[in-house]
Amino acid sequence: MARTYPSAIDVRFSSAVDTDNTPIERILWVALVAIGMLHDMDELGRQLVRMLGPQRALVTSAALIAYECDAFTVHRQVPRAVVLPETTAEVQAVVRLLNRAAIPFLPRGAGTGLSGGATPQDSAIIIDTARMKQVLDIQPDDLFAVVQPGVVNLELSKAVQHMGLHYAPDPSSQTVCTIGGNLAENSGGPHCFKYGMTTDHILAARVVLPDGEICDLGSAATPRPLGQMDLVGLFTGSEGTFGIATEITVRLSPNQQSVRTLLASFKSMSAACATVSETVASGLLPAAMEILDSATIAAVEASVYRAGYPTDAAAVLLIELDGAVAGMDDDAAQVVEICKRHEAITVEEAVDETNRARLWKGRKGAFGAMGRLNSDLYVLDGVVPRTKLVESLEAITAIGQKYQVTLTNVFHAGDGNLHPNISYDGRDQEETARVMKAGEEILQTCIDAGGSITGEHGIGSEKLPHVKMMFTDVDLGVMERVRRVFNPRELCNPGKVLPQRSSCAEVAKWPQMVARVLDA
Amino acid sequence: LKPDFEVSSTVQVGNDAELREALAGGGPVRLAGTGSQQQLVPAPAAKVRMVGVGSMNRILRLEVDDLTCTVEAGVRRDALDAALAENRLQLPCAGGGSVGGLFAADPHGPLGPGMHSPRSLLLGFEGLLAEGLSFKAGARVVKSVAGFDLQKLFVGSQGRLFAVTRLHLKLRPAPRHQANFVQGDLTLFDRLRLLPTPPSCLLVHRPAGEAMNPVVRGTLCGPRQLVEDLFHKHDLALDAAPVPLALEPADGDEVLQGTILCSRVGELLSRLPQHEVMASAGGRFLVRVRREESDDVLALLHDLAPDTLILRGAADRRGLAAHGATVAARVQSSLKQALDPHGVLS
Repeated sequence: MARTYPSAIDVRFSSAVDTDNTPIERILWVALVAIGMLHDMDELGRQLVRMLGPQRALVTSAALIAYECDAFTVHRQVPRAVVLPETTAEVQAVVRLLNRAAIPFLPRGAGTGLSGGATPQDSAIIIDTARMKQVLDIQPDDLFAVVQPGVVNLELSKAVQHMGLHYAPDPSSQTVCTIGGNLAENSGGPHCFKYGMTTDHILAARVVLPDGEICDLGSAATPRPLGQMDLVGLFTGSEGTFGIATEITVRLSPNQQSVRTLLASFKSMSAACATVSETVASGLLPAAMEILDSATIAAVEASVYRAGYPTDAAAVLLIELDGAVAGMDDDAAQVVEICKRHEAITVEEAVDETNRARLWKGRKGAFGAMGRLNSDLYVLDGVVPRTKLVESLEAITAIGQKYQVTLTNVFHAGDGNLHPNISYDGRDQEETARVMKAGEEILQTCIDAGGSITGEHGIGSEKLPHVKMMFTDVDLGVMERVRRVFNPRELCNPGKVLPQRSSCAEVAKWPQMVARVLDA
Repeated sequence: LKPDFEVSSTVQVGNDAELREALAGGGPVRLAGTGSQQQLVPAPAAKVRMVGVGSMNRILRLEVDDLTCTVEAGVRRDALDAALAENRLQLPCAGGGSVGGLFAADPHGPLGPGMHSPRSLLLGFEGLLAEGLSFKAGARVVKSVAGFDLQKLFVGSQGRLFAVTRLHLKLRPAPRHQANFVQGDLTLFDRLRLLPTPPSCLLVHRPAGEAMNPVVRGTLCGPRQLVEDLFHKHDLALDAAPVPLALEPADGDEVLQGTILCSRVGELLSRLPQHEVMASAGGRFLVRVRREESDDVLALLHDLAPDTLILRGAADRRGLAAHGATVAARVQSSLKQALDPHGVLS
């Protein structure tokens, strides 16, 4: 069947964005485009089904509802359709079709993102990479692997385990989250204190640009080939707004000879934080330093993630050291000594791999354990200088009390990356409004301390109202220039990262909505 | 600042306002710190005004317990190293000159798997667009994913996209113990680079001429016991000082630079049996060639290291490469146009 609508929509889109038009004319054109899209929807759906088959082109409302949000559940919008390509060529074909038709689209990995990055806006079409899960190449002699974006983070490490290698970035959701999603969000994890973020482990990527062109960024030998810009570094963390990565070359790391995991419990949060500071000041570089507060310990110990954490402690600190066997005993002894100097109630060291897994189980399951506290969970993600952890946590506790919300803390202490978690009932509008307001003040606290509004979750749609806490209009304008190079028509994941688009109106209304509810 | 290309005037600036004024002076501008990188980067296409930021040389913030600092772009690397050493800290990447110039040129990459690349140490920056607007990107803290990672664009940009005035840097504890080693066995290169605790610096150097054997040099860091164990296990000999990744061209010579997969360094040496070659386990290599050989060697290496280019040589030869236009090249051209639409930064 001949395709008829794209060229027509192209004409309408060109007219809509024509800068010579008056604002009224542009609004009129946009309305006409919207009407045209509705009219063309059936044809578009048929096209996508013809292209990929009914199993890989989802257009029914029953199928689409599962894609209305990612793990940030405050914002929801059902996508116009979902496609599940399996190859670069299929992604390119879909993107070309949508680009010609001026229909917005966005990539999605496992949907575990916590900032709404994979939640569609503007009735966008989701390009789900879940079926792109092949490990294409492994080169142990050069410590890299080439994978499709749908490969699950932990599965990659399992695939190279027999070679004595692993993939270092380990977000808490690593059992389900994908390498493609990690790249889009520049994901972190407990071990990035020592080993760096996702961007430090991405060497190259083949990407489908928003106009359908294929572009190779970086190389297996270096992320920035000589005489070139670090395009793969720029692409990583662009939250799906610069294009869709379809083949990703990641750095693999040799497994360490020795891993020592310790859990110390403390009478106060300040003692736990001081232990972290002294450990770093001593010249040690632990692989991970994670803190859970008493409320989190209680939730974990009452859940299936029970790890044997002392429930009478104000905080527990999980410290992991790794490296060569030589010198490791001394390092572990030094950590124990520092813990004792800060009056640790207990210091437990994992004696074997089973014990180590148990100690991590509570930390990795902490977010899941929050499900016991209420129906919804707002996971915040601010960063402060590590030396300001104590005062920042005190300020955050005060904010929680001010807004009468249930607040718990579990965080990457080595990086100063806080995750204040607010448990609430999302059906209660008034409580939700208080939660959002508390979240905003917590992020402002992080900025006031010299930090960031996000350490690893991204801006997505969640933090659009807060971006200007950190960046000026000029800062954002420069970023906008860069985005337009990759995504000039803003078709690729519209309404994310930068708050300037008019189509972000719904998100921009969010703070006003919160204010109205609180005023009432 | 004594560049080997045509310069219409030279000015030193001491603050943002003076830099803004200098950028607005008309015509193309070449930014420089101490000027030490100028003979390692391509010469500008036309006569330029040199603008030096070497007087912007304050260490603005050194947060010892946070392992971060903020410095002005013109701070000399040796001055920063001295300040860090007093606090048992280090900026774990190679390169000298000014700190701004080091990041803008990224002359070495990491020298070994155990060393950082400048791209992983630049947390954020403040700077000026060529049109004079002040802006910033990234953050001062060790972890932030807010906004696009524009700091990645600065590393290796040679200052052609925007001017950076202040850099927020990630630091590391100084190594508890370190020792330089040397050994004449090329297999050592592979044995050491694949260790879980690899050397911070690991280089192969083969002098020019037939029957010259490669020498492996490097630096091991870590607990004393670990370093001593590695010396014993691999039969390493102590070396006096760390060796830089650098080749000096004699008259009529050029130095080519490229990046290569480490497993193919042996093949690189085989393909160029007569040439002086130096390669690091961070992936960069250098080859000294006679001027009239350069084009042939570039062609010879095209499949092995497609990004190879002329690093050192006459001003009009630097930056020449065998690789052709790609989609990525078009994206880079568009980024240059977007950030410096009037082509001020040359």
